[in-house]
Amino acid sequence: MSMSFSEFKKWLAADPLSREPATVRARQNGPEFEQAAVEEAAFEQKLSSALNFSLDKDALADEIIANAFTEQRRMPRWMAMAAGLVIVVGVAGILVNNMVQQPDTIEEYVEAHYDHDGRLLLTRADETVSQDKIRKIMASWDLEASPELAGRVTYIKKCFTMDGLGAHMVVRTDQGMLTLIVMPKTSVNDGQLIAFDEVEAHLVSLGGMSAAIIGRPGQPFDSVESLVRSGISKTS
Amino acid sequence: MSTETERKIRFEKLAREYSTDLYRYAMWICGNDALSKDLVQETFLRAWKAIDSLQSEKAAKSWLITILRREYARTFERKVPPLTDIDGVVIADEDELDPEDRLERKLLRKGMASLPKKYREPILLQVVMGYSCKEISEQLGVSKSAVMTQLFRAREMLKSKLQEDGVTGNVHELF
Repeated sequence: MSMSFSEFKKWLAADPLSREPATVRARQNGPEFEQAAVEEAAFEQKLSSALNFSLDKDALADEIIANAFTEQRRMPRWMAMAAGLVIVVGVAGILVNNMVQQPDTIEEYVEAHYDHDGRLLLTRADETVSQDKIRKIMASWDLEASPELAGRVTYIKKCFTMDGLGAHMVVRTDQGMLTLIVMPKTSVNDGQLIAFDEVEAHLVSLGGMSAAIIGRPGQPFDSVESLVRSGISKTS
Repeated sequence: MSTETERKIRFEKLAREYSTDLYRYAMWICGNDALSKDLVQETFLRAWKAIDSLQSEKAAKSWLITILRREYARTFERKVPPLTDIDGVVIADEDELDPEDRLERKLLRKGMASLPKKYREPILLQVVMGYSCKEISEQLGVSKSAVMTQLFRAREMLKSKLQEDGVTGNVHELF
């Protein structure tokens, strides 16, 4: 039995791209059927275009992959970090086991970490991060960030440090974005400066923990440093 | 090749293939960039932990959307404010559109944001995730005929909103 025009219209609106024999046959029932199919296809194109908004596909996948791998604590830390690096540069993951060198010093760590994804994450400058996410990540080490510091964070994720996991943040300042790496179990020489590849890292000792503030020379390290000193503390 | 490396390569492939579709889906149900990213991240963290249970790559999309929907219902749904307008959260489109098409796109997005969840979810699965009516019925656990009805009504509502807003002419507040 052939499909009526009203049945056909209902079918089209439910499944405009249907290739089922009944709908394909019905299109040949008359010009109004064909016209309705063409109009529905045009609407569908507009709908698809409206719902499938643009996205930076690689950036999202990179973040998901890096976070998933760093969550897996069974895996050797520098292997995981190198896996992320390998993915970023598009090299096959199977090489990871053979190519990783664990850094021996804080200088090597900071440089390797920043090279890994530091520059990429600075491009998240316009994003906002929920205060809840900041709170949750910092709470992993019984830490908290002051509202003044948290209000400047535009990106945060867990990352590897020399001594387990830490937090990688991007912090907004009036002179651009700075990278802040919080290392909950690493001790550093307070005030040490590490320069590499046209950026510099300022190390801040915070008792048993530490932070590295990384940016271009001339950026307001001092103001972020005081925010870090007063803004990162153990939860009571 | 080690099992660990195989797992990582398999996971990476899933993340690269499905993360943006899942993020779009999450955006249309959460209407909030940060929550949507958290939801997708949580979905993939769960997928990573359970990746050995995925028998076939053909089932991956359905598996991931099932994890996402469960995670949304379990943790995220109560955090999400009512979705009224997606314009403030979608990323600016790069394609060039003339003003009329741009208006239609905005009206469609506004209409989509105001659809009841019952109608929004099947049409998202169809348009964003590329599901067939049969797959939608399996995912949502309702009959295929019920899905067809929901899809038909969803499109009718969208067309009606497009017409209403177009006719009443709130054009200026949309740009």
